[in-house]
Amino acid sequence: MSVYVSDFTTTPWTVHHDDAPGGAHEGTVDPTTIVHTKNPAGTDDHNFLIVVCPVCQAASTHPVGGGAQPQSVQQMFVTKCQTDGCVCGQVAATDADTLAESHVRLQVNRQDGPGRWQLG
Amino acid sequence: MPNITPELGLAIAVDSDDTATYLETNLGGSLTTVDSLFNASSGHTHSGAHQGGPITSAGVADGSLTNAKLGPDVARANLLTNGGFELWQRGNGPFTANGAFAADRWTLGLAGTDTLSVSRNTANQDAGSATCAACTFTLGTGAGGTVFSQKCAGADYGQLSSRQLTLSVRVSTTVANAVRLGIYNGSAWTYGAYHPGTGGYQTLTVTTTMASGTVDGWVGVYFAASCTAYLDNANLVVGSQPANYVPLHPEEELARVQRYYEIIGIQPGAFNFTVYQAAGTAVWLPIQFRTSKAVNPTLTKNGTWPVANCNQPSFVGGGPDLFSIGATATATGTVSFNNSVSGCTVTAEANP
Repeated sequence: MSVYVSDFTTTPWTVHHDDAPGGAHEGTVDPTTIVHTKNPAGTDDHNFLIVVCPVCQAASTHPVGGGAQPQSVQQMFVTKCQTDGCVCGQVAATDADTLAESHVRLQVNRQDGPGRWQLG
Repeated sequence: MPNITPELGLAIAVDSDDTATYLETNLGGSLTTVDSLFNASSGHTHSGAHQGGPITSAGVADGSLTNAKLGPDVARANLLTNGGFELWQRGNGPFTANGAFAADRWTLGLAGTDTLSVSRNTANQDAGSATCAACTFTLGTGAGGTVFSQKCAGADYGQLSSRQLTLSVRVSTTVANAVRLGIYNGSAWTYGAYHPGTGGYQTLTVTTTMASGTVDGWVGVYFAASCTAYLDNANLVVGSQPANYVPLHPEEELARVQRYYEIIGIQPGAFNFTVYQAAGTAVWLPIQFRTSKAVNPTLTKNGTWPVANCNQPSFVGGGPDLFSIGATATATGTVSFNNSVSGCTVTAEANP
């Protein structure tokens, strides 16, 4: 089961829980509620983002490679990085969008290997 | 001395004997003479095999049977995951959404205004099978483009480049020209013949040759007219000839589907974790997947877990082979969480 963003075009984002118990459902979330997991040291891990279902509170932790929904998840990482910068400090919110996308693409390649990138 | 013919060892006369009457006997005697000469020269005892008798295994040279000569009952390795539609970890359905998984690894692809509803079915399966996929299809504007399919990702199936593949699926429907198979070789779809709509199970097949390189392949059952169809026993094999589905050992079948989707904590109460922890510190419990995933999976914590002295458990790190679940202690003391409430599970999903 996975909770993922199905529409980034309007804020709040539309979130879909595709195989929730009892059937699929969806709702909306504020993008700022989508946060990174913590490393054991307590710092943010830029390789994972958590999306909580607004309907049933199930929480999906997505890897930057995409996991269950590669296209949607990679887009989520790119959009978050473009908006907020990256928690690793390599990309600032004021940097060009292309830098954010390049940064996420590098993360994807490192995690799942080249060929996993699903965005154009 | 006369020369000897190379095959039967018949003596060839010389000089004027060539045209002279050399051997004069009745027809039966003549044929018997030829037969005896052949037997004596070659050592063969054919016992009439060349007159339409059976060919035994001794008469076939080792390694001489090609794939094209194989019958469908010659078992060959099935490249599909859950080809028998036996495993439905996400539930029995009905599944109707575009892109949704129904049976493990099988997804719905809707075209236009078409609708497709897929459910696990135990009343209409093929002979020898336990379950099948029941598909109720209503044609809209899809024009034959709606498909129930399985992806064979190039990054996952790294050895299919340029190989010839044949797909077969057992299909039952009473509507003619409604259901056919398709196979995508990385650059184009190839389609098989439609089901005749005679009711009862028919074996549909289609063959293609994969494009070279690392390309994504797809196999699918296409719907072109409103119908109810039952799908069972899909088989994808290397070669030009289809092969009948042969069930895997259940342990192997489960391992195949868990490469892409795995539920941890199916049995409520099976997962219990207790530890003494200092306030504000986190504790992490590494858990190894039963099957390594095709890629790094998405982890989903379902349900509200019973906890004591901590927040809801969450994940840290993780990879294709294991993940860590844990929580942060609210106060110094015993921290615990468990899945004793029904629906409290962790699912890992990896779709290459």
